[in-house]
Amino acid sequence: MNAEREFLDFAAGLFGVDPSALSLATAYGSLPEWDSVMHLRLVMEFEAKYGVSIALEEVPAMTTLGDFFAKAGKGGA
Amino acid sequence: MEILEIAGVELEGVSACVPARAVDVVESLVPLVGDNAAGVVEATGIRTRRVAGAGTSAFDLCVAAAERLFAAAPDRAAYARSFGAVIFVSFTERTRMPSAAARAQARLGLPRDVLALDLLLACSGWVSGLHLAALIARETGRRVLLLDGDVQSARIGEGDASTLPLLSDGGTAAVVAPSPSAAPWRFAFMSDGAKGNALRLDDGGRISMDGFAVFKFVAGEVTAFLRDFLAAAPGGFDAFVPHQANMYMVRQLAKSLGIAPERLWTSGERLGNLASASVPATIAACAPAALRAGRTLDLFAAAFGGGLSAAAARLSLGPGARVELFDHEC
Repeated sequence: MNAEREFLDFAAGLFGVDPSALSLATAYGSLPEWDSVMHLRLVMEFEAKYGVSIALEEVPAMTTLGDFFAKAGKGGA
Repeated sequence: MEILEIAGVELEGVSACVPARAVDVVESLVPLVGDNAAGVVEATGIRTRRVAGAGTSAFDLCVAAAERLFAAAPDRAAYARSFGAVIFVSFTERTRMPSAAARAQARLGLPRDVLALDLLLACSGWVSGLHLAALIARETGRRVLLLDGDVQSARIGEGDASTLPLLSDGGTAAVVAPSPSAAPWRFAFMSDGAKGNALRLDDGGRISMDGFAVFKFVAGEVTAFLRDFLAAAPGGFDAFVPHQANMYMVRQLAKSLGIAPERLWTSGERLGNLASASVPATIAACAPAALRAGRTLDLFAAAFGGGLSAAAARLSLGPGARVELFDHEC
């Protein structure tokens, strides 16, 4: 499984949606499941899974799944 | 940034009254978000909320908190007569006229010549009210009673999964007293009303929140504001007391400001987000374990949210201060 697919599967599991509904271009607010609380969950779960730290000031700018994937150092949007 | 300095006052007491009914947030969320409920609570860190019974108002909870402080005075009537002002901060109080401050004057037996003011403020309201209370106490040489509370549970929209896991009920009372030898307090304020619709009461009186917009405000402007405040009002402090918006946010905020976890005071895990009362409630929850005989606690309070607005204060809590948090059957 490539890194992008693995990341999208991780996000789909968190959101409770089918992985085929997601891409790196999927943005905050484009899915009913991705609300502000889910955004916090995504940040926290992402930090735990990928071993990275996201500063508070960085979080508002991370609005697409591609922004997160780029932070993981495994690719970019 | 303008730093407003006020010398010659002290915080004589802080009392927080929360409804005894503690609601498990996961259980209350399951009907709305199903299996995601536990994950939501992991993200917010708020595990229980306090919910007042039907008919209980912010005024009721604040007066109950004040009664505890008054009851501790050797002569309750004389203590009540020593006040020159009462300030009531809330955005949810049901009865607008007569004002809650005027009702508090009568209920608590304060003198008829008190200045009685209601302040319609949300999350940053206690720090704003504290500034006003300090000014009045210094100018009049009399005590000022600062009441701050909200019953938010009655204003959560049906099925609103963004506010239900966070918002809670409670009332607080604080006494600001003249103290000529006390170290100066320092304050700073910020308002950005252009972003105000991100957190508002809708036409039906329900709380409406654009969580991402509020988060963005706190992560960006508030963090920068607090960093500037600490630079402009330097010096060590014993504890950082932020508004308990959610536990992720307050921990990340402390981290961004370079404040060690052991200096971060929190109460939101078990009390929820009490709006502006969360700062004094957190002081009431955490100070008793930190107060040591003969030692003053220097506090850094930070409040932010509705307005949108933010307020910061450097203040102190003397070793003789009466501080308590208690449950109230209602």
